[in-house]
Amino acid sequence: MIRNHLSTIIITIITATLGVIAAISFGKMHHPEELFPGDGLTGKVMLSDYFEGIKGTNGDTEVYLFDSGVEGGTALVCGGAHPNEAASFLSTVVILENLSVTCGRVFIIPRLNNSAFTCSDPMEGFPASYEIPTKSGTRRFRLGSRVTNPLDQWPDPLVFSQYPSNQQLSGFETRNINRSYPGRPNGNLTERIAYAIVQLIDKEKVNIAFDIHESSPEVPIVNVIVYHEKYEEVAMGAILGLEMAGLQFSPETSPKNFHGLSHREWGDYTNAIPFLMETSNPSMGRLRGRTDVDLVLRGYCDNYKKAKETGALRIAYREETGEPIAHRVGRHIAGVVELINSYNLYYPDNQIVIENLPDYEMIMEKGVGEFLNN
Amino acid sequence: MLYIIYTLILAYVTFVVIIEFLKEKKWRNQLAMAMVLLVFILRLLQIK
Amino acid sequence: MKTRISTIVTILILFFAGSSLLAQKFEQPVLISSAGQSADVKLVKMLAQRQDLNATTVLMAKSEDLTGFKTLVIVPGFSSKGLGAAGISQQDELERVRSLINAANDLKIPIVLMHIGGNARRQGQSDSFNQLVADNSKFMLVVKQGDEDGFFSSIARAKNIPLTLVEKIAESAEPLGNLFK
Repeated sequence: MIRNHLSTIIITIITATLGVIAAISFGKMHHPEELFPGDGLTGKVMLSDYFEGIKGTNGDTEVYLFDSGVEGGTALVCGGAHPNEAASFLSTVVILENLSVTCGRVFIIPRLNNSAFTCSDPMEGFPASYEIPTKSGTRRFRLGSRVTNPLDQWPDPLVFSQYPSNQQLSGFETRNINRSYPGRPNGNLTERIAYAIVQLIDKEKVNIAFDIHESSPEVPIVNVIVYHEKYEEVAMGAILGLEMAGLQFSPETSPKNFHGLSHREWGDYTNAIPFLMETSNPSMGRLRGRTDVDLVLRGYCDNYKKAKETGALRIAYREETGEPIAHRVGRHIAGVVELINSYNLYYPDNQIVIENLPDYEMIMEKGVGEFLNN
Repeated sequence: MLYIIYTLILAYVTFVVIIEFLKEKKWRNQLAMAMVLLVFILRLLQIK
Repeated sequence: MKTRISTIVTILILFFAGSSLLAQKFEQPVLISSAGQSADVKLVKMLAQRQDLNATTVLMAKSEDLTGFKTLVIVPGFSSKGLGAAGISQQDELERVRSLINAANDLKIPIVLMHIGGNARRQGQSDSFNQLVADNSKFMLVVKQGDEDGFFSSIARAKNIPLTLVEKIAESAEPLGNLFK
């Protein structure tokens, strides 16, 4: 009898301990990782400073400003619209921690949908975080969900009716910030975050805005620059420039009739020139095998090699090297730099001059960690 | 940590099912257990 | 004796090959269109502008748009965003391209294929457009990466279509301009 109770007590204690440790670990998803902006940083505000309606919510997020003090144009670089896309957030962090601006201003939002960083996608088996070795140790970064945390916005409607287009999408997309632009002040949390971003673009008179993404190797929209039709020349100029540097990007026009996306609505509702870039991330693909941190960072997966060999689909996957994080981050940063260069050619009166960002070769050679502070 | 605890729980349940699987005499029950084990082991290997 | 014969044969081959190239004249004005609605066509438009070509770009050109043009440049490559933007299916687009090509052939307007999208516009849904345009072209200008598996060169060989391969998109501007000189 006593023996029986003793085993119950021991098992209860072990289970409770494991439960507490797991709960603490789970709770850490709500603690943003510390970022170490470079010396060029001149200011930091919250997104809620542009729209009160998200103050105090998990949707509020840091906005970093690099102001050269020299009159010129304004750029906005956004990562983490979909926090399950590691290179999206990481590229923005590398820019944040290295950038210096000598003409004009640059705003950086590394966690565009902050709420989506606090959970991961159910049924996907994604790791909750990954570590990058740096000059002085390792840094841990969260790998979040594609969409706003359901604890912050629930329930999803059966059918999502996009505002203001009334385009019908599946209910899940209600929590996808990249279907929610231009947003509305009295909408759900995701729409309010989207609204706050559009307010920032308007108020700060942003000239060129970037939304950095990743997608599965098997989708047709990968390794691309998506541009708004009004600003075709800037995109084409950058694509030719990137090609000369050995980086191939395909141009994709933003469909006029597909609403809620940054490259469509930022272009329609604000004066900014929007660009969305995608790299190929095998850890997001449907054909992926073992889903672990190695796949997220090294981007190597035999399944994709086999899929590509069948030739049935276009697969954006390099058989020899995979799609490592350095390659993905390097592409994004090269894309931002080249698009700004191209913008400067077409808008010489409103220049933005940025410096000190590592180029693609440097990142490939030394790794992403080399360009992270601390 | 969350992942390790999750894996520990899954490994333990898998272990228990394997013991029961080996003790089981009826082939119908064995088949059912094998199916369950298949899912558990794939999950332990981080394969969906 | 043998060397003399082989020299003569070589000269003859070169002469015929050369004359077949010369025989194909491309004249302006040029109509640039897409097959598959990839935005690569916008790059070609830019390259044509840089070469001062008298060119008009119509993404969804139909047979009647050919009036007044002397050369048709088609840029093949599938884009789901492009087709989405146009609000049509891949099948509709194939039909449009097929009828455009037929009309051009009837009007004796030569077709130039320009494939600049590299492997991003190969295989999968792109190759049906690549094949259709390549089979009907009188000249092909291709960025090398798109021909890594010899897709375009084998069509060029089989159908005796002159093919120019270039390393980079920017390098395709000059050969494009030269076609009309």
